[in-house]
Amino acid sequence: MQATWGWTARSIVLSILLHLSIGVVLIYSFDFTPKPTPPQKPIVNIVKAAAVDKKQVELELARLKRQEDEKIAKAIERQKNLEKQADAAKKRRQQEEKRLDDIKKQKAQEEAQIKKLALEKKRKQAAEQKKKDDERKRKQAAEQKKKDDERKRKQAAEQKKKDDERKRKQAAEKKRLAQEKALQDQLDAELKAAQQARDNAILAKYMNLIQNDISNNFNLSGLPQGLSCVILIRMLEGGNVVEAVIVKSSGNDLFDRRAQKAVYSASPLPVPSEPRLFEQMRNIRFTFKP
Amino acid sequence: MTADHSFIDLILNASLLVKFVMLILVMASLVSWAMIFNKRRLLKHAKNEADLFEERFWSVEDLNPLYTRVSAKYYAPSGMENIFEAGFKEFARSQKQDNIDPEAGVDNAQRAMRIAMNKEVDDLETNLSFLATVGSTSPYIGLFGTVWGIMNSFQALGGVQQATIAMVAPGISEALIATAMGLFAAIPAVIAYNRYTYDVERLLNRYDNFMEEFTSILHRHAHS
Repeated sequence: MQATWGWTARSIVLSILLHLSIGVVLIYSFDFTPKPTPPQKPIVNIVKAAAVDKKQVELELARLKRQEDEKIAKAIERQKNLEKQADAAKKRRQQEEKRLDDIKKQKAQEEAQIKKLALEKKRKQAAEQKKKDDERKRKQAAEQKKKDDERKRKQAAEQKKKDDERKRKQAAEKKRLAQEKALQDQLDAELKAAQQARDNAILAKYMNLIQNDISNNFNLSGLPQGLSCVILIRMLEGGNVVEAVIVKSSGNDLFDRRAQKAVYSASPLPVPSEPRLFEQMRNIRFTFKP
Repeated sequence: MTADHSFIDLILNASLLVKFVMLILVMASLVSWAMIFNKRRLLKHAKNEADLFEERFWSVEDLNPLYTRVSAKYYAPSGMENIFEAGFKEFARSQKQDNIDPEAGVDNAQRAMRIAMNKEVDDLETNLSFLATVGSTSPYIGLFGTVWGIMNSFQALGGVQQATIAMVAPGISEALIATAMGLFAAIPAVIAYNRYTYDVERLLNRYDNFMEEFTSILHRHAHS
């Protein structure tokens, strides 16, 4: 027991030591935070100054004033000279202007004369021109008229010729069409007739077959010879009989009933498979004669 | 927020509940490590003792001197010795009484040994369940602390106009410490638990085998 307690105590101490060491390691390993860098020093501009003697400054000022005065005096003198020169120039200009006026007047007189002459000349030329133009116009008009008449006549003739031609052509065309149509009609009629004949032959054949079928289903025993009746048969595609009606009795009731029965029992009757032909014998009326 | 995010600051800046969670985790880690060390020594000792005793047991011809030596120890015998002592004592006692069937004596001895072994196993297995508990729950406790910390940091974030990562990051970093601690406590505990259950299992097998062998020896004694 003693030993067990000792172990337990030692284990607890060991455990605490382990945790402490881990904690220390963690604390130190986490402490690596980046250090802030110190701010840089700002650069300052220094004003440079120098000391100056006061007396020297005054002397300098006096010298500057003197120079200024001299400059002003010179400027006044120069202005006076300039005014004199300006007066002289004015006089000279007046004289010049007067001379120019004289020359202008002379020039105006000459120009008036020239203008008058030019007007005269223009008037003469205009009259002449007018005469010429009239002449030319008259000639042109006559010529134009002649040409127009000629052209009109020609056009009329041509038009007439064309119309005649067209009329003739139209007539010929009409005639030809009529002929062709007649021919076509004739051909169609012939074809139709041929078709009809063929159809009729086929229909006749089928009628024959139907007649045979019905006769095969007909019971003749105990009936007088030579009887006949007219039956109307309505059929569906394929020959199935829908209805068989005695249209005209033979006079013998037994014969009529047996004929009707024979039609029903012969159904489906032989019919052409072509729809066009079948349409012609959807409803057939025929004389039954065994 | 201070620029200094050292480990201690992270812990000290955390909210009260997160601090509490961290405290629990540190305690759990401490205790589980103490148990790990303790258990390790205990198991090692039991194994050594078993080795030693088996060697002695198979080397002696007569078991009586061995028994006297074992029972004469100043501290209570443990492990295999304890089982041996219990069995032999019971067998000897039943042999002294003449009117008892020798077979019944062996049976009594076997029962006594089984009881002793169960006690031993109990001793070996104590505290292992604590390791298992720490291993399985401390990550959750740490996670709870983290979630709480993150919740708080987001709540604080809701109050500001312009949210930046710099505002949440420290809070989350703080909160994540709790999870780290939970994992830190859990991982060794789980490893130790698996390791020690395996060791206990092996010792138990050895005790069992020893018991069977000793019983057969007693049978032989009873019929001779």
